[in-house]
Amino acid sequence: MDINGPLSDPFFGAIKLGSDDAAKALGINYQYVAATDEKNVVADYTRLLQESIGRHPAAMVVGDFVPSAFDPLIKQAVDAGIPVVIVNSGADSWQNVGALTYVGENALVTGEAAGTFAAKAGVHHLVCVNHVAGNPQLNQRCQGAQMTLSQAGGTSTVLNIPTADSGNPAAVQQDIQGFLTAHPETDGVLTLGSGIATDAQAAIKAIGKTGQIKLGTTDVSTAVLQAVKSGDISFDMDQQAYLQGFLSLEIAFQYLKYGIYPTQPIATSGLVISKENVDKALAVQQQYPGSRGAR
Amino acid sequence: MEERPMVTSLGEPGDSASVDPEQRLGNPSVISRLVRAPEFGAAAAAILIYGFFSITSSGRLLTLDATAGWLDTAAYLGIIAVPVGMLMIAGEFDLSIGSMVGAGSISVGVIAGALNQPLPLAVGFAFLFAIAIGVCNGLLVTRTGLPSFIVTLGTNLVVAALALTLSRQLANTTTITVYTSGLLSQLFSSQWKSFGISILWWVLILVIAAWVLRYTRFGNWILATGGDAERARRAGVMTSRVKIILFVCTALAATLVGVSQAVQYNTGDAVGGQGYVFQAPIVVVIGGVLLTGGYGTMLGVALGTAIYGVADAGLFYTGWNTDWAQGVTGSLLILTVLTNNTLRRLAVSALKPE
Repeated sequence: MDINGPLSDPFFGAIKLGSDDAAKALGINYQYVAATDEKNVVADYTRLLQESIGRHPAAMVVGDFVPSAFDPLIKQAVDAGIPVVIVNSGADSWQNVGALTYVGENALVTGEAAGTFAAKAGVHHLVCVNHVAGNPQLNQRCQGAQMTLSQAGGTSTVLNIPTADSGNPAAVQQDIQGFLTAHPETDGVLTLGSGIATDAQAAIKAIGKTGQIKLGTTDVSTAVLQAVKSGDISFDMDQQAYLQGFLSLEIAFQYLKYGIYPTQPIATSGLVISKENVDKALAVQQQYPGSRGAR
Repeated sequence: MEERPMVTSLGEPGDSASVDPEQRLGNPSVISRLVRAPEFGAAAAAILIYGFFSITSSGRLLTLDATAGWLDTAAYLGIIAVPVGMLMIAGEFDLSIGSMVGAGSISVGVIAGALNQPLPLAVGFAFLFAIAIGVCNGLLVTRTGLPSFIVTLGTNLVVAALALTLSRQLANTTTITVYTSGLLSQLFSSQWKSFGISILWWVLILVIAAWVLRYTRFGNWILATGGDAERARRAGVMTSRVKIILFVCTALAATLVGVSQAVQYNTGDAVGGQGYVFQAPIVVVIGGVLLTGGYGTMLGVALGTAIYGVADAGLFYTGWNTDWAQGVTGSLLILTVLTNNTLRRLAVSALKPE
């Protein structure tokens, strides 16, 4: 049983691809359960968790997206004798709930790495664009970037995109464009999703500052990889969704069969894709569409 | 009680659709005529909002790039808002536009991107699908008598699920990078400086709609259908046909936005566009169209869209904290509509003989 993010988000498509491949390779049956959208995470996912516990699967792989709401239910699953692997989100909470281990991103570390990279690229005034205000992971990424940049002597702000604009590239571009025009000292933009990165790229181009404003992002898509190759995007933090999907299922399988599991959390985040290693990532994405993020 | 003019006269094309109380009362003052115009409140708000953000952004909103920027966002919203406005004048809602944007966008992504087929095929498919959904919405509403609010809320979810399932089946993802070229691609993504071609689409659709509503028999039928469908039907208006055609128009417009954005931003996105579900009716209502139907103009809808575009973008040009951006839009909605209604009521009561 795999309770994970909405498949309307291509990031989780890559996670499912990894899980599918693991299930095939290991010859196991599993079910991927997800809500249809990410606007109502708490209510939708607590319901999914309850239903899944009720079906008493051999093991559960769970994304701990909102620990305050999910943790009591995950504990309940553990107490009911279901081994649980936490995947993707839950770097700080996996031990509290009695899970076997954690595979995924440490959002703070991702942000710190992004901030370090931005500082190295010469950024002094960074804006972190958060397109899902209230998402703890995204907040942590911004915090991490702000922390390391301020240690390097830079300043930073967070720009929240209104919910109504978030699925509309024209509006997102316009919001970022307006901010950059109002804050002409900004020389770095960090976005937290591959689609938003493309919109930010268009905004920077529209005000004629391509190259002057350094753009970095988290999450991968073909468009982002191509922009990294062309130099329009300086760096891309890849948390390797496919790996999260594959490893989490494999760990659950090996625990059930042999009783073995990794005793420390497995970090899949912190990989930086820049001009040096983008060609390999692009080649993989072309050969296995969707495995390195949105195609 | 209700002071809105009832629109039930069914004359030849060119006839004034509304029986103006002023005409019976002789010579109304210019001011009361102006104030009573459905777009008066919107026009006043547009000037105020534009002036406000021009000053608070230290003139940054007035630059060419910024103008192109907010016009571009307004254009995409406006392309959808025009037929939504027509449909609301005819007394119906269409909430399925959100998913139609995503469906149009992902059609380009899957067919032209993942499957490497020519763009015209993708666009043709998207528009055929739109016609099918529009007809489906129209038939469901007119045959079952269910509120269009419910029917289109349902189709919005069904279409969203279709787009999601098919794109995941065919391409294993819901966001697809796609680079297009050729004449058709330019038709959706050309730019002059930073002005996008979507602005031209918006103006074109707006002009056609305004002309249809004011000068054609079909326009009269729309007003009559929204004013009093039962009386209109007895007078020989094919209200069902009016509604079905308008549902097709809203679906086509939403698809046009989805296709254009996919081509312009090189990304087909199955789940984008849901913001329009509320934004389109909001700007239509800001523009003076009555929620109950039967009354409104396309100039008002255009002004409402411009207000939304400026308000949505303007705050980002001020440099202030933008966390309150949605609050500005919300307050604006209430204030404009309140002003609209109050002015109209004052003007109408001033005209009464007593």
